[in-house]
Amino acid sequence: MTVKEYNNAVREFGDHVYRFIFRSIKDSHRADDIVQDSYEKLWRNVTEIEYCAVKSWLFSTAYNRMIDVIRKDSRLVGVEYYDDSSLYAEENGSDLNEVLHRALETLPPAQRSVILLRDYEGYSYKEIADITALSEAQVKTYIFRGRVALRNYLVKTSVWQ
Amino acid sequence: MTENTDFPHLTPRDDRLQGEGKLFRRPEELTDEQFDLLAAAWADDALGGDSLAETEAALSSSPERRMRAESFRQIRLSPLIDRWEGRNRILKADPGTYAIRRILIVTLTVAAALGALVILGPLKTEPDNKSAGPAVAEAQKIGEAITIAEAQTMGEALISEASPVIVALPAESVTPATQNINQTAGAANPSIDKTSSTRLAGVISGSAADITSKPRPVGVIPESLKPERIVPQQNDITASVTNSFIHANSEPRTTAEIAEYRDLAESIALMHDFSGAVPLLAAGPEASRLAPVELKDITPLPALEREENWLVRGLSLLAEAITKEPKSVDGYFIADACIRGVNRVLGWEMELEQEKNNEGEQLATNFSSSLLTFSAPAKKTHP
Repeated sequence: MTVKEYNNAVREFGDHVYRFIFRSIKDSHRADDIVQDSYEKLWRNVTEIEYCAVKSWLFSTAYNRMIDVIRKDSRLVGVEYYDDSSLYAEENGSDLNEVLHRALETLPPAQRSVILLRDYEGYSYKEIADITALSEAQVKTYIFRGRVALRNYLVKTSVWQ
Repeated sequence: MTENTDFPHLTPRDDRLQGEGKLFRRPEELTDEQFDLLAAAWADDALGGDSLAETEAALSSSPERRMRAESFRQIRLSPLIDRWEGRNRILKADPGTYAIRRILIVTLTVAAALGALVILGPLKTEPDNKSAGPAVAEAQKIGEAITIAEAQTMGEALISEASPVIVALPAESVTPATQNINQTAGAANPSIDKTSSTRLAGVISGSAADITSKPRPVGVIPESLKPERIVPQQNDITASVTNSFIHANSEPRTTAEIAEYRDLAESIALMHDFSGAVPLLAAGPEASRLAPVELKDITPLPALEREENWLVRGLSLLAEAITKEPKSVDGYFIADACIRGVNRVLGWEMELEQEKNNEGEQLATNFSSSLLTFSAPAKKTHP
C-alpha cells in the first residue's frame, strides 16, 4: 500500500472505524486512542497490507485493541447487562434509531460489536467472523440474540406494544 | 475473545442454529423466546432451504407470529453522525512532496539569507558618513595613503619612482628639513643618489612668496589642517613645483619656460584648491624621473550625499509613485519585507532585525531562522 492509499484509508475508513469503536465502548477518548493506535499499526505495516483488505484489517485491529482495553477495565464488562432493569426507562417521542442506539448500550460488548458491524458496515456473517475471530455460528447467535434484546427493550420502554 | 470465557451468560446452550437446512424443532413447538430467535434469523435472511420453508409455513398459519416476526425487520441501526476529530493528525505526507518541500525550504532560506547579505552589504555605513560606494571608498584610501600623521615626524623617506607622494606635516616639525631641501634644491647637487628611488629629505616650505604673490582663497579646513600648521600653502605649492621644474636637471630653463610652467602649476593649484587640502612636496633634481602625477590620483573627490543601489533607488521611486509620498527605502527594509512575505506565505518564523546602540547608530544586522542564524556587523569606514 502506498502513502497515498494509506491517506485514502484514513479519509475513507477513519470515521467508520471510529464510530464502530465509539458505539461499542461509548467513550470518545478511548475510541480516539484505539483508532489512532490502529492506524499507527497500519502505518508500520503499510508495505505489507493491500489496500483492498485494509478496511477489514482496520476493523479487526481496532476490535482486538478494544477487547484489550475492555479486559483491562473490567468495569465495562457486563455491568450494563446485569443492571439492565434500571435502563428500561420509558421512551417518549424519540426517534426509533435513537432508541435503538440507547438500547444497544444495554447489550454486551460482543453482541453490540457484531450488530454494529452488521448494520453499520453491512458485513456478512463470515466477514464479521473474520474481524472478530468468532465462528460464523457464534456471530449469528450474537446477532439474533442481540436483535431479540433490542426488541424486548423497545417493548419494555413502551415504544412497541 | 470467546463467548465461553468472556460472556458465559450469553452462551446459548442448546438453541444454536445448526445450519440453514433443518430446524431442531418444529415452529409450533418453539417457545416464545426460541421463536424470537428464529424470527430474528428469518428477518435477517439467515434461513434457507427447509428451515426457511418450515418457518414460512408456521408464520402463515399464525398472523400474530408473523406480525411479531415482521417487527424484527424494523430493528436495524442506522449510523449516527460520529466524526473522528483526530483524522487529520495521522495523515502522512507523500515522500516526494516532503522532499520537494524540504528542498524548497532550504533553498528559499539560503536565498533569503544571501539576498539579505547582498542587499545590506554595500549600504552598511555610519550614519554620519555622507559618502558610500566604491568610488568614494577608493578616494578615501588614496587620502589615507598620502597623508602622514602629525606625530610621525619624518626625517627621511625612500619614495619609489613610480609613487608620487604628498606629505602634510606641521610647520614646526619640518622646518629644519625644509631648509635642507631648499639648500639641496638650490644647489642642484649632482651627488644625489640616482638610483631608482628618490631620497626625500623633508618638506619644502616657505619661499614661494618671491615667485608668486597672488593671494589665494583659503577654504574652511579642520583644525589639524590649518594653514599655519601646514606648509606650504597654495602659493607655496606653486613655488615649490616651479622650483622643482627649474632645478629638475642641469639644463638651464628659459624665463618663458619657467613662466609657462608656473602658470600651469598655478592653474592646477587653483583647480584643486590645495589651500585647505594636502600640500605638495616635490623632490630635487630627480623630480624629472618621477612618474607624472595624474589628477585622478591626487584629486579629492567630492563627497557624495549617498550612492544607492540601483535596485533600492528604483524601489524608492516606485514607492513614491504609488504612495505619492517621499519614501526612503534601503536594503534593510527590502530584506525585511522579503522575509516577512516568505514568513506569511510559507508559515516560517524567520527574523531580521537591526542592532543599534543608544545613539541610534547601527551596530549589526541579525538574521535568525530554524536553519540559519548569523549576525553581520555594520561596516565602519571611519573610526
